[in-house]
Amino acid sequence: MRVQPVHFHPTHFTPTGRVHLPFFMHHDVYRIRLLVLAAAAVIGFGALAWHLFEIQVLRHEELLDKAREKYTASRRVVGSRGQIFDLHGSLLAGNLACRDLFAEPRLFRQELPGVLALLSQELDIPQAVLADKCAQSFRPRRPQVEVVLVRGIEIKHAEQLAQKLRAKKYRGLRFVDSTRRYYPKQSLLANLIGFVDGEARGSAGIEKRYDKELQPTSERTVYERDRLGNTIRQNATEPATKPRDGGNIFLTIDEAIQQIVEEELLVMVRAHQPKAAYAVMADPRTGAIMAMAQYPTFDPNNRKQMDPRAWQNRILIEGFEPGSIMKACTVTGALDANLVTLNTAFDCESGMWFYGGRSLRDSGHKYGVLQVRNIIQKSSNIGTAKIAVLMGRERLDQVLRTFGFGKPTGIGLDNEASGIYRKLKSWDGLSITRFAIGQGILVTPLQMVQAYCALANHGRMPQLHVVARVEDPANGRVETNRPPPKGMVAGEQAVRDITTALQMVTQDGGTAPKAAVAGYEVAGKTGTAQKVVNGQYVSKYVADFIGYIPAEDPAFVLLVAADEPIKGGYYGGVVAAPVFSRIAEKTLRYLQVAPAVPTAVPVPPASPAATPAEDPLADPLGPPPAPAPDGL
Amino acid sequence: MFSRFFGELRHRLGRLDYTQMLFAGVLVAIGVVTIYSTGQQAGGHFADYWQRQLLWIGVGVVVFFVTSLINHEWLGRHAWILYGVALILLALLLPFGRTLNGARSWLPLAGVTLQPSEFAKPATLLLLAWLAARPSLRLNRIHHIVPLLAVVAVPAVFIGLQPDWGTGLVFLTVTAVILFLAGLPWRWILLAALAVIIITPIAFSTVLSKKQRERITTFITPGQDLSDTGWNAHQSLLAVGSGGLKGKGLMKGTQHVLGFLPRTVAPTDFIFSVIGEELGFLGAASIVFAYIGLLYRCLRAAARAPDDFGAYLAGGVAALLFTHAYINIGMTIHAAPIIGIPLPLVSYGGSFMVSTLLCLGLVQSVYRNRQ
Repeated sequence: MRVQPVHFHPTHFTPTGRVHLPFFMHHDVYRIRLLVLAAAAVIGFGALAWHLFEIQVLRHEELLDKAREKYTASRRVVGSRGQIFDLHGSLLAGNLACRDLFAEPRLFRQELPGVLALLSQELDIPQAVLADKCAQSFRPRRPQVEVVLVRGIEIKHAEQLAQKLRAKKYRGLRFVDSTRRYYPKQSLLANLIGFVDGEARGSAGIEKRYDKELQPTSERTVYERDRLGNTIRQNATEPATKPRDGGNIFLTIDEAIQQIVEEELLVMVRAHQPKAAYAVMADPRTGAIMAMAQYPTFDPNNRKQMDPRAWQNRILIEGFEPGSIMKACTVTGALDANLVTLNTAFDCESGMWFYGGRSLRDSGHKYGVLQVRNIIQKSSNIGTAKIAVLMGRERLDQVLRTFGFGKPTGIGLDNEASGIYRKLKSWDGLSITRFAIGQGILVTPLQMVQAYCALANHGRMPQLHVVARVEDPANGRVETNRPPPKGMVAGEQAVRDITTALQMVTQDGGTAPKAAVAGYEVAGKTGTAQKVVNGQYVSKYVADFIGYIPAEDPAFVLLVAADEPIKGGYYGGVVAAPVFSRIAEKTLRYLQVAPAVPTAVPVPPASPAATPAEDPLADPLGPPPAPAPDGL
Repeated sequence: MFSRFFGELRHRLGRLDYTQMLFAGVLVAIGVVTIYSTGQQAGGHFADYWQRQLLWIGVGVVVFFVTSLINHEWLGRHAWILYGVALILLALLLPFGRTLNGARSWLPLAGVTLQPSEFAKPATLLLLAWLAARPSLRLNRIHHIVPLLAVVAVPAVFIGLQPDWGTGLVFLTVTAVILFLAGLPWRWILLAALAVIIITPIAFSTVLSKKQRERITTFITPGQDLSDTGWNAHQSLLAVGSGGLKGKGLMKGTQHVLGFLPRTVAPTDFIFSVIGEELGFLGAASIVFAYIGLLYRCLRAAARAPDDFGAYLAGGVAALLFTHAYINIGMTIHAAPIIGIPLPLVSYGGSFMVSTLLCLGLVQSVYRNRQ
């Protein structure tokens, strides 16, 4: 079978009949051709082998780095931001699971318009905003490979969107689990809590002030990812140290009371339509703020409708002329200096007194000789001014400063105002009579609450604060905030006396019977400050009421103020006093404070048939006289 | 009678080229291990690829020995039958073919899916070598060459239109090598080389599809486009490069697991980059040297062939192996454009495995009848 005919052909050779030798040792043309092929194969494979050596051994490091770059990425693992609770652990600011949309725009450069149009339509974000973010990836200098396109997309929405993106086969977009700040109680306490910015940093309120405590730590971790950018779970490297969650803040606020206060404040706003309104409640023994409400307010969950004016914490920054509520401080100073007693009588000049070349009126009332207790009760400007003159400038100044006016209370929040309280040397001739009755001086609501806390706390001024404790969620360690009190504003006797006088305000003949709470003694004071615009008093008012209840052992101090009420009166006794009464009543019930005056309550509406005479507990002096008109 | 049969069998077995089998065995073994490795990492239906590959290897080994023991001369005389069957199978693709990865090259037959193009390779090779060895053939006559080229062109165009021009290209090199060995005049060779130089740019812009053009431009200017066309090539280069001298270890490769090297090509066309990554330079170079060894054994068989037909046959198989191996390895390490052809004896794929072992069996048969 190995017989092959030999053909004569110049280029045709047969390998037959050769000596048994390795083929490359033969030297005819066929073998040369085989050798050429062998040489080609050796050169070809030799080149391959060399190339392999080059990339696997010589360029190994470089290519390994490149490969790593491809499949590893670093990421910041962030703990979750601390939560904010009320005193009893009811959640006020928490974190909601959501997704962030990351984009690698170079992967969808061709489809960019389509991607932008879809996202813009789905997420209701202007295309230009998205385009700007994508542009960071195309800029020549330090282009960003991956950009955060949209933060905080609701999970359900994100899933729908992901489906749409998949359907269109858009690449380079991925969703990353994340959290978003959420305020479950919406506008409740919004002005105190504040909110965070797009990068989850506090930008107002507690969120800002306690940002350091709330911020979680973050750790960088290198992880491997696949072609689509998904983390490979099995290869995921956890950071060396785990990131720590931010601390939880517990406020001194009681959510239930806050709710009551906000509701009632809103009732007042609806009835009297003031420009702004606020109410602050504090525990006079500790200085803990129990509620802090204001109007207007906002819903921090709904950024788009946020009015920057509504963000402000007015209670912290608003300076207002307090009006008559200041009188309690003035008179306490006089009592403490033993210049007067509750029974000391002053001639109230039938409602018109000239001092320093200007007239001072009692707002239309023509009081004759009044004892100090009645000056407070009826809120006589002339009487209080005469007490101030008796005290002298230095003493009045010292008293008002002792009560904390002119400097921030140090409640522990940013941007606290100090009000406007002139230095003694720049007082003019009228200052002594005006400052004493709360005119020409601007105080913040907090300063006023602080002053009355001192009166309610037997003269010792507590340090106001809103944060009760900070808890480290990792180990449950709690740092309690119990700031020490500030000092005495007056001796105990003087404070007891002024409390007695303040109690008369809500009683018959006082300026604020509407602030009375059935079953409890209220010590409080109305205020109706006329506003000054361009140096002239205009017919705009601040109506307020501040008091503590029960008078002898107060559960709280409460300030209610309405700025420029335009409907249904403007006197503190009409506008603010009823709100005080309603808030106080509900709060006392909530706090389960036992009524001190168990009976004197069930008044007309409870038993219309009963006459005072038949009621053995009724006032023995007969039916109560009609309430006196409101004073200042 | 039986004793004569077994005596002859032992005689024939004794004359086989066991060194060639050793090189082939090394390649097959590395292939199975790598397919196992990628399959376990990828999971899913990739996980049992290695078992299916083993099954096909079993079939291939039987085919290999049967072919080895048949005289190549007898096969050559009947080559036209095999060629005819191969053409029929290719034609059957038109109505019954299945499309996978963009090419209509799979024929479902009796429960298994075959690639007729793989069986067309040895059949065409046999017929071509047989015809080239015909004494009456005058290779300096154009009307003698044209029928030869037609024999190759029919299956090659069939396959090219699937479209699988990569396999079509293999036919071209095999034909060139057989004609070269058969003594094609140098002036014709020079003329052909000249024609290639002239036609290439024209063909590039007219005949080739956009995708094919992209593949070539990617090869020439790497790194320009890393999004689609250059992706596999670039990732493959990174995979091989990141393997280093000793590799990352079996089942520790990352490029293909993380999907940078698509899972569908990791055990098939891009298996070499997995080997490079997991077994390092040592593993990759072993593959290359195993091929050099295999080629040496084929060319050795060609040099000692008892007849022209045997010599051309062994040379053609060498050309087939070389083309496949060179282009496949080259494309994974950026030394050749991306032409999707598998790595002989290593890549996952039953038809190709059986077909390659059959070709090696042909070489064995030639070698067994050596002078």
